[in-house]
Amino acid sequence: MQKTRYLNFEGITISSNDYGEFDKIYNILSESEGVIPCILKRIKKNNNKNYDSIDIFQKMEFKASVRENFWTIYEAKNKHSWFDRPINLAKLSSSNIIAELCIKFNSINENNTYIYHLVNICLSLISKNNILFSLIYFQIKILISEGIFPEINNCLSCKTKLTPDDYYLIFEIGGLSCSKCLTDNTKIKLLESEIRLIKYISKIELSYNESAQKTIENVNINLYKKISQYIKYHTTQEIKSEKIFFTSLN
Amino acid sequence: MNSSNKASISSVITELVGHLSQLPGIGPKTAERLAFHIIKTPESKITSLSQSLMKAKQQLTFCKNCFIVTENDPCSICSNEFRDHKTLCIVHNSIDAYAIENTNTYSGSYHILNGSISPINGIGPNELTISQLLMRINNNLPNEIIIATNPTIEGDATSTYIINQIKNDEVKITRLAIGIPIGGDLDYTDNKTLTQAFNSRQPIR
Repeated sequence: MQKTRYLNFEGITISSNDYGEFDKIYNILSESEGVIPCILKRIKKNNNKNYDSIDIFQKMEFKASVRENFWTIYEAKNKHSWFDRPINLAKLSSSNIIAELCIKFNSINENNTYIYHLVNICLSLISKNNILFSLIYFQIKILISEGIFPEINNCLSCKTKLTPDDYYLIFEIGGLSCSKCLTDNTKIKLLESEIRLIKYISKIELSYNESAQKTIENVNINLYKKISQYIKYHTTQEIKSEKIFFTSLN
Repeated sequence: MNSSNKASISSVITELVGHLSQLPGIGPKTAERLAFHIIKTPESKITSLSQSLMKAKQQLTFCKNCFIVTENDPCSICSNEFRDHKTLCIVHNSIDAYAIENTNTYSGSYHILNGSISPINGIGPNELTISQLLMRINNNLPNEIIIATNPTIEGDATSTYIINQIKNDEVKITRLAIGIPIGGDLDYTDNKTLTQAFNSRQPIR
């Protein structure tokens, strides 16, 4: 039987589910351990002095015990909240999309400093109403970090430089194809402006408090949907929050 | 003891444990304890428990007006002429309405949303009874709407969505206060709750 370990760590609460009468299970994104499902006992009783008020999308200092991969939080102190109350549906659903992508891509108990800081930046952007830019930034950065970012400079088949009206993203090969080399594979047409934006975002690295005013004007929901289709092809999983996010934009 | 050993003891117990562990908040260990408790309990008590379960399933329904769990449609709250039907309290679930009823401080009517908006679980406004609520408000304009959703991000998003959908400016909309619980200590209250308590302080004279 494994020994109980005691850990102090900083993490972001990204989703929660009720567990039993008084307990909840939170998925906590941490820098050192990736996404960890943790149980918070008696959290629904609001007079528990070991916990600050906990909700999703809060950065907190946690004290946890770990035994046989079973994490129990026994103390939680608030460090930062991104969202002022009341939050609107667009901010909630877009943050949920980021949470879902984190859970899909980030393995449990795996050090992932990059994703942790990326989520920090993206939640900060969402809180400042840069919602679409934040989502597209997150999509592109997570594709890069997972090694499935598509080749976007030349046609992957004939290696020729691509011209406007010639941009087809082929899901199977993970890159662009010119119209001459097109096959029956799953594909979507990308606009030149979209390619330029993808290239730009792939190169920039935002810091925590940096705004992204210059790029916001160019982002649109269609680019988000196209990249999302590409991610879905590679993960074969639906993002549940997307439907509600699209509703919130109407 | 692993699952294959349990199956060899009794497939009936395994089946019972399996069914019980599907209930919310019941894990495999609790399910086992409940199963062995049921086995030890006299048959008459188990018969009445199973009859109550069947009766609840067969006889309880949702009130078509407020969506509370009830035996009769409309429910005893909607059909009670002594209650104030010009005050409407919006809650997530029937159990929240029962909690408020237990306080004996509220005599208006309710609207049960049947959950809260939770995009990550695929629950949006269309999965709740929000359209029925808006229809109800339009048909019988209340004097006051009390939003009693949970003070969580999802509860807040639900209330914000509802408030944005209520176009009529004449109706007064209030929200339950958020702050320090009775019996709580100020020095142990976290900054967020304390700030909220300060912002929603009430004049006392």
